[in-house]
Amino acid sequence: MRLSDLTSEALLSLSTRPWRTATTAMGTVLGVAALVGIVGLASTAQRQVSDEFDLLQATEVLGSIFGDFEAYEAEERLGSQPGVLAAAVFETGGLTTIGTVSADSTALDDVNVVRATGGFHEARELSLRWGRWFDAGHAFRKDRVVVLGASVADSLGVIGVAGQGNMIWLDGVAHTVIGVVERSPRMPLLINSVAVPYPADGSSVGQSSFVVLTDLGDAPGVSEAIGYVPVPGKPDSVSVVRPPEPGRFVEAIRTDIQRLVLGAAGVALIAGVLGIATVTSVSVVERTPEMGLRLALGAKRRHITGQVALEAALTGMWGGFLGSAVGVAIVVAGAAINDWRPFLPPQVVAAGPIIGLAIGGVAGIIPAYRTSRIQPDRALRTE
Amino acid sequence: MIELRHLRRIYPGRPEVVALDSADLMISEGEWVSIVGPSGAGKSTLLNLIGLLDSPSSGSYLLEGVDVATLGHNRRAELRSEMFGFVFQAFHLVGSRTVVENVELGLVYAGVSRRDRRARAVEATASVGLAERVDARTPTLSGGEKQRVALARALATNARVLLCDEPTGNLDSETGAKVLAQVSKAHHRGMTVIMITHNHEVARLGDRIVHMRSGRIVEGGGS
Ligand SMILES: Nc1ncnc2c1ncn2[C@@H]1O[C@H](COP(=O)(O)OP(=O)(O)OP(=O)(O)O)[C@@H](O)[C@H]1O
Ligand SMILES: [Mg+2]
Repeated sequence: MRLSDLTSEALLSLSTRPWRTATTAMGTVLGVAALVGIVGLASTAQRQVSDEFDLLQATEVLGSIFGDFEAYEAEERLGSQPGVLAAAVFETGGLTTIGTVSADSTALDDVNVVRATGGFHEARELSLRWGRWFDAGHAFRKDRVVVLGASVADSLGVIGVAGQGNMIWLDGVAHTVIGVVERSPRMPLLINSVAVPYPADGSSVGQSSFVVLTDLGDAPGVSEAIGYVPVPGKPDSVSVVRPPEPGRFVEAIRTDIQRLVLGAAGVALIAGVLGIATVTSVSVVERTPEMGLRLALGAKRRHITGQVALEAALTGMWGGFLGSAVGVAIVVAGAAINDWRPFLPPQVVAAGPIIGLAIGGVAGIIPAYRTSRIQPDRALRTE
Repeated sequence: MIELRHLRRIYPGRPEVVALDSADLMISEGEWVSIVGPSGAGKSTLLNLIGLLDSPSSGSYLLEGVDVATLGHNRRAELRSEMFGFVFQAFHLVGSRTVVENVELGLVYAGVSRRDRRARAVEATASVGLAERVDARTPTLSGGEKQRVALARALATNARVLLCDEPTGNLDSETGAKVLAQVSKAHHRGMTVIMITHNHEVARLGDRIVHMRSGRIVEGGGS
């Protein structure tokens, strides 16, 4: 008996019982669907996150500056470096109380203060809801102007338009609001902060930093050379933060995914094997007379074993195939809900039927072996 | 060609059943032997032993001079395929397959190639007068037609011994006669026939009648 004959016998038997085959494979369908769905959603999310993350990372260099230095000169020198699109010096760490009615009113406590030079707007790719960012002129004139983060502005109820005299008090000192930052993807903190001009007289209060925006992919190159730029002759007073390794963040996500996948695979395996093993055992008992007949017609034990095992394996494969299809649907739907681009490694989809095949094969071994040992006369008398 | 000596088959249990007790039987090639006897006499047990569907508890069975007790299960399967064709009272067709697929089944296990298989199955089906029904599903057939399909299946492999366990037991006398006519034809071509029957008219079609009672062959065992 040829393998092709064995396969077609098995296929014929399965196709004459489509419902039985479908219910037998149910566990496998669900298990593989869960597996493909989880892996797919995880890779979709991962790709989404890493796309955005890498894009930001590849275009910025950050650093710290210690000691006395000329912030507005540093900004200019940084900005004129090859590959640099925009540069700024800034400082975070202060807190302030904001009043909206008078010098001694209090509307918000403990609000972050960011002091920044004029290039900050461009260097951090801020979008303004309205108004403008300050420039060096504000700093040198010591104008009392602020730009508010969107959430601070919302809490204060500052809705005004530029030049309309939106007055607030920072620690009791009156300032004019000249703009509101709507979005700050590179520095989300800014949304909850007030920004004031970086003092031109060097009266810094915290740790000064600089940031440059580069062309896509230039950040690592720029970071190599830029340590000498902000403070001439004192490279020791500058420490450049190497652009974070892109792998680290993605790696963390990947470990979580692996745990999920392992769990899902375990469920798929157990559900699939139990489902197919149970139904195959029942089904084989039901078909005892048929197996007796096959033996009477000259089937060897290995033909019976082979047929039962192959039927179980093909059932599993069919279940794995359906499971993959359901899994793909889950990924597409899940991505659509989140407005992501669905991404599913083709190997994962292809693995569905293969996993199913293995599940079915394992599940079929014991019933297949047992069936092949039946006495043909006994089997034929069963009915 | 078939030689049984003191063959016993005991079904273990409480109490154990002595289904066949010290049976001696010689059957020559080309003979038609009818087996008769009351229900429970051990007729099916004897036929299953001859057809290698069962193994005796003691005694010996020589098939063409070979003691079958010395054969492994693979060789026994080969002999079932080459030597014997079975026809049962209960037809034993595989439901939801077509007539020709059922007839092909024995050829599958005989290792006949797919193309030859189909041709031989169609021929065997035609030889029992069912040429028009080759692609019919077996549940749609009448009892007589089903039994002729079973007969075609037994004949398709060119088996040398046809073993029939009450092949007409479920059929009315007219359709039974049709089936028996096909058996006769095969017998005339040289096939050995061993047939269990309750019907004495049918039994008389054989060259010899073996009478059984309570697991013993009481008449007709010698050649
Ligand atoms: N597997 C078994 N276990 C125990 N006893 C059995 C088994 N198979 C058959 N028997 C018993 O062996 C005896 C002979 O059975 P067998 O089927 O050979 O009789 P038979 O002559 O064919 O009867 P019938 O004409 O009713 O078919 C019976 O008493 C039967 O109950
Ligand atoms: Mg019987």
